[in-house]
Amino acid sequence: MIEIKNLHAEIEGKPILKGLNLVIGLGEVHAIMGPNGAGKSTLSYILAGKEEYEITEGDILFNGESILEMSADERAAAGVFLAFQYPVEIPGVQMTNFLKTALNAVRKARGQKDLETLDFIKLLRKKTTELGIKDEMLKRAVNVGFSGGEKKRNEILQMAMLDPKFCVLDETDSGLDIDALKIVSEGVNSLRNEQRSFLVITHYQRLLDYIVPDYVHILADGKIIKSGDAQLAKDLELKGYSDFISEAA
Amino acid sequence: MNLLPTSKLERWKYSNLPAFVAVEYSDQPLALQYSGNKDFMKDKSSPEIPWAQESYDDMQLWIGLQSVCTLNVPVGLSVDKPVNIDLNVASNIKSSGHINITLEKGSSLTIHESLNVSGWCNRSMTINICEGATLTHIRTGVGDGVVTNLTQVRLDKNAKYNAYALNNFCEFNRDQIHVKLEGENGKCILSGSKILNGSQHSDTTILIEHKAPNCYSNQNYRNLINDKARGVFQGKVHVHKIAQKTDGYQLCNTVLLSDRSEMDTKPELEIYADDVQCSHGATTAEPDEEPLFYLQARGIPEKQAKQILLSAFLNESLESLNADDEIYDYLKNKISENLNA
Repeated sequence: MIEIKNLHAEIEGKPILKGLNLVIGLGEVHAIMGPNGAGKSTLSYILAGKEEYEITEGDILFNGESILEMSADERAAAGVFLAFQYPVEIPGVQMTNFLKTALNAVRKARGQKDLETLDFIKLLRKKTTELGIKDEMLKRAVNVGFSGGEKKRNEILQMAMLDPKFCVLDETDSGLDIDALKIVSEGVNSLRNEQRSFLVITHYQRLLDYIVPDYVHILADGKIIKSGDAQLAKDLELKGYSDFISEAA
Repeated sequence: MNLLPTSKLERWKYSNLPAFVAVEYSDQPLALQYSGNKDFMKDKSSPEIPWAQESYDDMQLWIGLQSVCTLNVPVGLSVDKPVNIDLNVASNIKSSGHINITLEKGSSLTIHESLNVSGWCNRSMTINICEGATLTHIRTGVGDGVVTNLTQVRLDKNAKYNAYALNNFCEFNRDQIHVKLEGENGKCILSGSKILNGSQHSDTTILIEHKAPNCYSNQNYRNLINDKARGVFQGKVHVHKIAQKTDGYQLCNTVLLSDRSEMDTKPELEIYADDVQCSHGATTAEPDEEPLFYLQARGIPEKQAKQILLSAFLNESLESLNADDEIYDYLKNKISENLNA
């Protein structure tokens, strides 16, 4: 489904990713863990199509085709979804309008017709009920005045609405208490299926107790230095990153 | 022709009028079309002249203009339907005139002043809002001419003035507003947006005088400037010694869309009372990349995402306006029409 091949990327001349390789199959959940500055967020932004980064070498294939030349909105339409670590506040843009505009933009790009208002409301109701999101939140401007938990839940709502094929979760656990973490994780788990793949980026093993990955990778200094199954995350929690990094060196 | 104010005058330092009116104009009285209750129209021959303030060194533009319209809304009357005042000025014509509006005690009115200017429109307006009366004043326009407008507003006790101006037309636009809050609990909201392209020049210069206690004033502007257009905002709040418990706010935020566009912002506070709450803020910046990426990451194409963000930004200038939905929607549509063009 997604194939990252020898990816080198830099920002303002500073190399961040230095030959990253990763293959994620259909329906798989992969986790990437790593210390600060390893390049985790850079990887998520690059996958979503943020333009500040320069890809100096390598490629990203999505269903066998390179997405490097695609803009962020084209990638979203193709089925790539990034749940932001810090969801952006957009004053003056109301949640419902935003969701409707985004959904219809994606549908248009996928060759589907615009959703009628009533059908849209029905779909939105269904998803918000599943995620325990109050109607009141939909009346506000996008992420404005949202608590940390509400922002992350909102990311999952958008994910549920846009029906992506490949989801990147960038430190979705940051800023969440245990209760919020459970709700968000349940939301993600309900979206797991054989047709949808996930890349979960996190600092801590904690999140992976709730979203249990098929594979775990350790990212350090722009490369994956070790891969394993869910047990690897638990070992990492016990030993810390430094052991693994020195082991790999 | 009277001597014109030039950029040598402090209040005109960003706007050099003579450079914009270098062609020959023939003088005509301002032609005005009025839709509304004709009973409000009063005898034109007894004009109220603009205040010749000693602080004005640019009054030569507006002193002694012929009165073209006097409106008087009687005591206690609430006029539901907005009154339209259309001012049309053909090319090579300089149309001048004075409009006088009085809202008697407890009355209310909404005016939509609409300009169509190819020549030069030079109007002065005095507005008297008596005790407990409310005037909502919307201004829009089209054309590629020159506008030099003076609006003077006086508010009594518990009176309200709600104003919104969309400045997206004409090559040169000087919008000069002077408000005097003369009775307690007066409330004045001045708001608007500039959407400028090409070589347009738009200058909003405001003086709000708090001359009584417990009054509220709010200036709320959002501007978008493209190409080599230039915007000017000079907003001054003067709180007299007697005007304790004044609430005075001012915010003017501008987004520049090109390297050659320019915005000059000069907020001023002059406060002589010691128990007041006043704030002012101004930002001038390029469009923010983070929200754009966020919208694109949700599948919204770049062009559409930019329009969404810019209209949301400009719509903030409508938030302070206490108008009914119809007017609000009308202005919102006008703003988004401009962005689509």
